[in-house]
Amino acid sequence: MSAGINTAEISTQAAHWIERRDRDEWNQADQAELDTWLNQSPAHRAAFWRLEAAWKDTNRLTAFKPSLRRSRQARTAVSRPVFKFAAAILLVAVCGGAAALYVTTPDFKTYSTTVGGREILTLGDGTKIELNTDSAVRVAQTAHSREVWLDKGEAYFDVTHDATRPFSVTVGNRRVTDLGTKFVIRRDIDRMKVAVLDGRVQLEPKDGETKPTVLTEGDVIVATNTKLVRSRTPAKQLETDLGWRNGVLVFNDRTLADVAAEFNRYNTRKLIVADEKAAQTRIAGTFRADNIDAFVNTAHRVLGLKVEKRGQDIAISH
Amino acid sequence: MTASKAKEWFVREVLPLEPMLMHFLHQNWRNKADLEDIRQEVYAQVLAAGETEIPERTKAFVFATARNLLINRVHRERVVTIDSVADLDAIGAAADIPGPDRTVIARDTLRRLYAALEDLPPRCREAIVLRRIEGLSRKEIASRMGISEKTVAAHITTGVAALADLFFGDASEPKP
Repeated sequence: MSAGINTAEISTQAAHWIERRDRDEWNQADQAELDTWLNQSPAHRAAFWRLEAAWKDTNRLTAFKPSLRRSRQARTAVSRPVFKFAAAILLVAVCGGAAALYVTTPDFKTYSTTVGGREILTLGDGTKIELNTDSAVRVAQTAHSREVWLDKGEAYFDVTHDATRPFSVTVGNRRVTDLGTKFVIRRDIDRMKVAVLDGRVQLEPKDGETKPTVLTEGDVIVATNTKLVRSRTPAKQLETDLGWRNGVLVFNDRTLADVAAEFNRYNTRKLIVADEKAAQTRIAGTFRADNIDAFVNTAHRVLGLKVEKRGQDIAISH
Repeated sequence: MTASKAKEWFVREVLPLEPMLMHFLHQNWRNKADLEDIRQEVYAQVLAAGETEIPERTKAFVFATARNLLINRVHRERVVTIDSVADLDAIGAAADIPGPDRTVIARDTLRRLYAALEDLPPRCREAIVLRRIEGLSRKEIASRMGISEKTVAAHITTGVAALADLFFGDASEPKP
């Protein structure tokens, strides 16, 4: 960059200032320090005021609290109709602008599960959504569409196909649309995984810029922000991976590291794998997802691993 | 010109132009990695001028500044491919495109903020919601999310920047 100003650094500093100023312990000395920084250059002021303007208004979103809060309790909440700016719509229509942007957001219902929880939702048309542990979805239904957002965790979908009311699931910046099917989607922090058990689904970026991908039975796609990795998995294996629907975890030659990570999704008491040799131990078997002690006992007695309590958690070592 | 007046002008008149500005930069600058940089440079120059005297026609001024900046960059970078600057003479015309009515902008603020918040990475969003909407302290957020206070601060810092980008105009997507 030839500009001579390291813009990225200034933006980062500005963001740090916003975060710092928002702390409870912010005092006059801090304020003086901030003022000095702001007075150094218009670039500092521009960056800071820009962030501040976006930040300042966030607390006005309190009105949307029910839909923004991620409760740890399993619960059902109906959000208020959020945007009913009829006047704004009219104005925009008159201006001939992008009216679609201002279309009101439909009401949606939020469903979530706690760590270790499981819930089956049945929609009016017979479609079933099964939520796995620590998961959350929002569901919006209209006469013309059925939309679901998977906000976190994992869900199994058994969809009653209706071409006149397409069923789609949005996960971050991607959308999965049902073409008559059973499928499962898992959302992790940096990736999502879609596996199709029956029928077909279509996967596309939310903005629809690149071509959609059609997945059929046995297809598995792992998508990160930047790429898609597609593979084929035997249907039997996919069924096995859905053991959670019956409260069990089925492992077929997996490392202890993987197994522990799986258990930790379902339990507040965590398994800690203490050394690399233990982490690489291979495991096969079927276990109750919520019975961490049974698994630990097996690991100890059958595999000869050492087991040690650490607070409420359990460390496993070789 | 008092500083607070310049600030008010910057926030109310300049920042709402960001989607148009980014669209304009997108169309006229090839290296997308530079866009954020250019945007901030435009802001710094516009603000510096506004602190001396607030220009009469903000939009025309912002776009003229952007145009000059792009031209200067072209000169400075020496090696320039033909299409790196698509049509600099057409740029002047961009300033005359009518923007949305300001009342619509104001009414739409909450909606866009809400959408921006929804698009943040989940952990960032959680931290920001707990802080700004639930009003929890950093310590409380840390214990609620099961992370350190330092990580909470990092989530919030990242979140602030991402939120502003999403709110004012996404740099990665041209918005007509």
